[in-house]
Parts: sequence; structure tokens; C-alpha cells
Amino acid sequence: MLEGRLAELREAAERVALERGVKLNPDGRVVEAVLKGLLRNRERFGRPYCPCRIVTGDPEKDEPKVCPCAWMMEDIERMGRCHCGLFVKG
Amino acid sequence: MRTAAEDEELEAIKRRLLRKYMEGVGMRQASKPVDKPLEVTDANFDDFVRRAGLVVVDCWAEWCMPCKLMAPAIDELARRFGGRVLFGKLNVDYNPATAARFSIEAIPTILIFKEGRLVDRLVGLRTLHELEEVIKAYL
Repeated sequence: MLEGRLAELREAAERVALERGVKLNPDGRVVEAVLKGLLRNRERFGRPYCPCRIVTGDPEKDEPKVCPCAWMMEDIERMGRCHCGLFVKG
Repeated sequence: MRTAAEDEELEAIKRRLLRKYMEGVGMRQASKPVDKPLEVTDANFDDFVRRAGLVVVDCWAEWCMPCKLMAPAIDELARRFGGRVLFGKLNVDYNPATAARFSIEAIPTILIFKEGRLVDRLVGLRTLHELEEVIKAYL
């Protein structure tokens, strides 16, 4: 079910946050929307690509866009949150 | 009883009045400035960016939170610059050809066209003030 798949992604995101010393966005609406986008991309492309990045179909170019993306920590450092807003400064 | 000549004259008057009315409607529509973003697609993109001297295209997608957060600023700027700048919204999910053509890798991306040529692009969430300053520089 949708709720189960979203819960699974949320747990994965919480693990990432813990490992990297950041937090999930305190705005639950943002988290839910991004998780739905990740789920959609996983079902559409096979991997949870960031919903704010364009999937090109070239595995090499797309690899850094899998959540947590390659720019996550740099963006959090610079803006206090990652580009899509799922993770914020801890 | 009306004669055939009178009927013909009445028809001519009707046609003249209708034409005058339609011209009036057309002029009113043409002179009304566009004050909200219009939908842009792969199919109409090239025509759209030539419809005004300065055109701003917001490339977005349904699941992109920064895109949603920036949408009210785009609406407000379309209202403020109505008649001077044309604003469009391109959903990259449904229009991948344009996204690929302009090498869009992250959204929101704002593309700015002057006289039909791409002159600037802004990637990521921007405030209304930041967007307004950039657009003003091209006016």
C-alpha cells in the first residue's frame, strides 16, 4: 500500500539524517511531498531520484541524483537545507 | 410585408453591426495585458518565447517543493510586470524535450528570453525580490 511504501522511504530518510548529522524538515507537508516524489521516481525509474532533478536516462549522469543526492551536504551547508527541502541543518 | 431589398438592407446592417461588435471585442482582448503565467509546452515553446520582448519561463514539476514554494512569487511578478514581461510555466515532466534542449538538470529553473534569445537562467529557489531584480535588469 502507498502508506507502507512511504513509511519505508521515511525510515530510510531518517537513517540518512541520523548518519549525516542533519534532520528531516520540520514541515511535515514538505517531507510528505518530497517522499511522494521519491516514491514516484522509484516506481517510474527504478531508483529514488530527487524529485527536483531531471532524470536523463544516462546512468552515469543520474547516479548523483539518487536521494541522498551528491549535493545534499553542500546545499545544507550553504542554504540550511538540501535543494528539495527534505533534509535541513541538524 | 418587407421587400427583398429591405431584407437585404437589414441583413447588411446586421452584418455591419456584428463586425463592429467583434472588432471591439478583439481590441479589448488584445489590449488587455497578460497578468498571470501561461502554460508552455514543447509544442508551443518557440512561439511563446517570441510573443514578447521579455519572456520568463518557470520550469517546474508537481513533486518539486521549491517549485511550489516559488510559484506564488512567479504569479505576483506576472501581475506586477503585466503587459511588459510575459510569464510562462513549463512542466518538465510532461515536456522533456524542452528540458533536455536547455540542459535543465534541477528545478525550479527560470529561463529568461529577450527578443526570443535565452539571456539568463536561474536555478533553485529564489525570493520574489531576487527574481524581480534580475528581471528589471533586462527591461
